[in-house]
Amino acid sequence: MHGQWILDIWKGYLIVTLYGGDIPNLLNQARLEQIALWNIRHGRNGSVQFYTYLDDFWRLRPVIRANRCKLRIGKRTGIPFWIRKGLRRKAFVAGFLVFLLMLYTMTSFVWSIDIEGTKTISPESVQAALRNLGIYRGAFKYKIGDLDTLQSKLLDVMPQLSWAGIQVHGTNITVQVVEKIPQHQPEPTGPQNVIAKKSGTITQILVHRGKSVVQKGQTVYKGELLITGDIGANQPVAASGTVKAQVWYTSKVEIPLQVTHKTFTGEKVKKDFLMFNRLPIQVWGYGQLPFAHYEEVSKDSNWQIGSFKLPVQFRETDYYQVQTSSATLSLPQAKEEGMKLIQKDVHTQMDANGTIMKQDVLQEKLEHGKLYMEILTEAEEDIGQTSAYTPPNSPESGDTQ
Amino acid sequence: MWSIGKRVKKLATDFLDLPKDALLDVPRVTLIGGLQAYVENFHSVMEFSDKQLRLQLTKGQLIIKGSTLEIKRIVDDQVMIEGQIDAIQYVQ
Repeated sequence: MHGQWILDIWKGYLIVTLYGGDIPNLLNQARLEQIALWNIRHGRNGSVQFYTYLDDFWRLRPVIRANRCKLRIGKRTGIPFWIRKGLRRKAFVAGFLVFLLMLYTMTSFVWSIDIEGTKTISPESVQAALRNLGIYRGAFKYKIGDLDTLQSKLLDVMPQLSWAGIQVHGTNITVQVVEKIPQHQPEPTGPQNVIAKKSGTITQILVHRGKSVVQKGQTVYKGELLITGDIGANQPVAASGTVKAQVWYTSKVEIPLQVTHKTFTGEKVKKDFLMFNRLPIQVWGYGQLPFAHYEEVSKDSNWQIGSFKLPVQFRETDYYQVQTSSATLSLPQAKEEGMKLIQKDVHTQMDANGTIMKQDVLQEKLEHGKLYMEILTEAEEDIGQTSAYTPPNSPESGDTQ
Repeated sequence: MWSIGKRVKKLATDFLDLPKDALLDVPRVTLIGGLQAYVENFHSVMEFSDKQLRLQLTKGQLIIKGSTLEIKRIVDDQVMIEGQIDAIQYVQ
């Protein structure tokens, strides 16, 4: 009889107390009528008490009357009684229904959209495309429609994607995209010149197309014409070629001799807060932080209804333990460090295929525990840059940017 | 009172080694310690107090004596009694 009590509560039962009358006869009649009675016991003062189901009770009443018993009804238990009680408390039931309704409506809107996998495309552009397809914060979930067609539509709208996947998890929509790998730029067909994008001394010049107007060893300035598309024929060509040159960069750097390193130990503690209008109330992760040095990273939720930002927000804060260690650099070490930094800096400024030839220290001084250096870096790189074709001997020749 | 049918039934139960109550119209009483008694195949309740429960059988009576007796369940021809059971008397 496992789970019998669930059935009892579902059907609803009550305790009946009877006074006087012919009890054995009543029991027999109840049996004949298929009325279930249980826990039949004698009370003091000659009463008999038993449990019976609510729907059986109505059939039992004539039997009780026939046996001339007085009856009192005791505790009532079960869903039918609770429903009736609930109907009497109209406000409570209404509140409950409103709650259910609200829960249902709140969960039938899209609350957040995560866009994953964007590398060069901005997630905002994906968001804008999704908005046009009807996926946006606050969209009605059931109007979104078939995800497969939406995915293909998104691909149509954004040709720079090779794949898109849209998943709905409750009130959150995750959009995963894979970008197309950009193809090679087509070779230019129109006439063009090659000009210098930096000043330098030419070390090597290789012309694929066109005619070089400078020589090895010549110093050129930024914007100067290097290879012209004019080859004497009446049809200018698209000039192209490699022009390598020595380029000099002067850079300044300061290296503190006393360096503090911070390393994460991997230990972390999480605390959760509810933010009531900027006032954080901690709700989880009580207790002292077990470490002296830490960095905290907070993540705030963005709970909104439509465009209205709710005054209550959720904040998750992670405290990462940090180990600090300080190191003192010797002068040669600091110098080396500075050189490395400058090399990195120069690499960002020059052409990808460039190489650093040598570095000279122009100035160095030690002040306030810092090493100040000025360094001249000599690099070799391709300084050619295509530009619009202008016929030679025209006033703005070789002066395009 | 021995009708042919009854005699056949009794023979069958003896011969086939069946429990007696399966075919004969007699009660089966299951007693668990002195705490619970379970009676199958009775006819009707004749008397019920916290000291005594008397059941009418097809033939004879069954009297269960004790104190703080309580009928846990009563369905069809089965009744379960709980309480302190001191004696069970079978009256032919």
